[in-house]
Amino acid sequence: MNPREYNECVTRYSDAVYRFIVANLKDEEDAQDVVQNAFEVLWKNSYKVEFDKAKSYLFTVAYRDMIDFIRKHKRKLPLEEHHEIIAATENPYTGTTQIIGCFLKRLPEVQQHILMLRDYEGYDYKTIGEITGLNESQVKVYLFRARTALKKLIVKKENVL
Amino acid sequence: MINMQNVDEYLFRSVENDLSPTEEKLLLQFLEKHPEFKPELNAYKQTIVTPPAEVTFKKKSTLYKPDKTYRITIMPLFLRVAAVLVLLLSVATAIYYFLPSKHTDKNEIAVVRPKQTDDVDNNTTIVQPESKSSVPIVVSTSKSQASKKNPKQNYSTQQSIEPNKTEANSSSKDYAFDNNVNIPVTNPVDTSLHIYQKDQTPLNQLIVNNQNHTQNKKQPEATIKRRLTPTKDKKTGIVSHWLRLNGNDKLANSIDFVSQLKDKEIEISYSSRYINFQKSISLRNP
Repeated sequence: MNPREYNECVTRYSDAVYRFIVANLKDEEDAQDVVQNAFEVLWKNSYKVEFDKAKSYLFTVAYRDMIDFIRKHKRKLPLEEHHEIIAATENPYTGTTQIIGCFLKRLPEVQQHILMLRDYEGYDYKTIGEITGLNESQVKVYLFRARTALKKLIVKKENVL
Repeated sequence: MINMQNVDEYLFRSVENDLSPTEEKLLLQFLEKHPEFKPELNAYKQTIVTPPAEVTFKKKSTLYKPDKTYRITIMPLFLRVAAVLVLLLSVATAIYYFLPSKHTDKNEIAVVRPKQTDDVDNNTTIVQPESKSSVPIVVSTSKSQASKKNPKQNYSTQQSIEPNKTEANSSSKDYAFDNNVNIPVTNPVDTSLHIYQKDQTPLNQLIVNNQNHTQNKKQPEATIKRRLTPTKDKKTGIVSHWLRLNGNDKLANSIDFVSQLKDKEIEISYSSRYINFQKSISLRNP
């Protein structure tokens, strides 16, 4: 990958990587650091990364950096986020998209990540497995569990309404 | 077969677009029979999360790297062509000056170095004579001890000279003709020069006592100097030869002979067992 192609990657994928990371970290500054680090790694290895594989490579690096960051900081659920989830559950007038976003935060992290990679970026099971370090069957199982859990929450809320 | 236990899997796979057409048809048939699962399918469809489109990375400009390929200044075409031409010219010049010339003969034993004067047209070439019979005047050398290893070599020069007008008015002065012919003499012991006319009549004899050089075992070099002195009628000239061995004039005696000018040309031949030297001298304005 030459510098021109690297810059093209910045143009095309920086927003997507940042969107994925900030949705998980919930902190813009931390997400920016992760994204910058991912592109720095891509630049250093640009001589061996093909342009077609650059997006997957970026997400892989960013994902692993994000996991390290999460494990290092042992982030706890902020109080305001907890209230947000309760409000979304209890408020019957909240929009479905916002409710799904709040329900998503209740899922295990790996399920959140896989669901985002699947729905945000449209990756197939194999690519998601490469990014997260799982095999295709594991990805499929986690994704099934995530959607089933969300479905139950959605059905439960509709029943409440 | 879809049943109550695996319907969730089919609903999930339907949302994931992972069902085959046959499985899709089976699922629709199952939902027709069990419409209570249709809300389940709708709930699964709602689990597809959409990304917040407004989220963008604000520090994108910090990620860009300088594209060095854009900074390479490509030399214009005419400059590239000029550079190639200069390079070729340099190579050709180098080859011309440094490669050995075809005319250079390292085994050359006779060199004609005409004196550079304004009134002499030095146009000297060295060719091998075809036969000795064309020699009108023969100057031969004989050596008491001659090496049989040295092959016989023939030389012939032709030279056109133009007499100096100021000097031509005075018969006492020579034509501007003064060539040095360097002839290496191997084992030059008691070298004798015998000068004959065409009819084999001896004109003069030169005895060279060169015994000192035998002891030094050096390759002596004989230099023959010739000088053309025109006579008063300017139809004939006197060619004087001085022999010089190893820069020592004392070892050589001078020989003079008169050569008849015929058709503005003098032919001088120097022949020996080892060397056959022929020279033609022509006067432009006698």
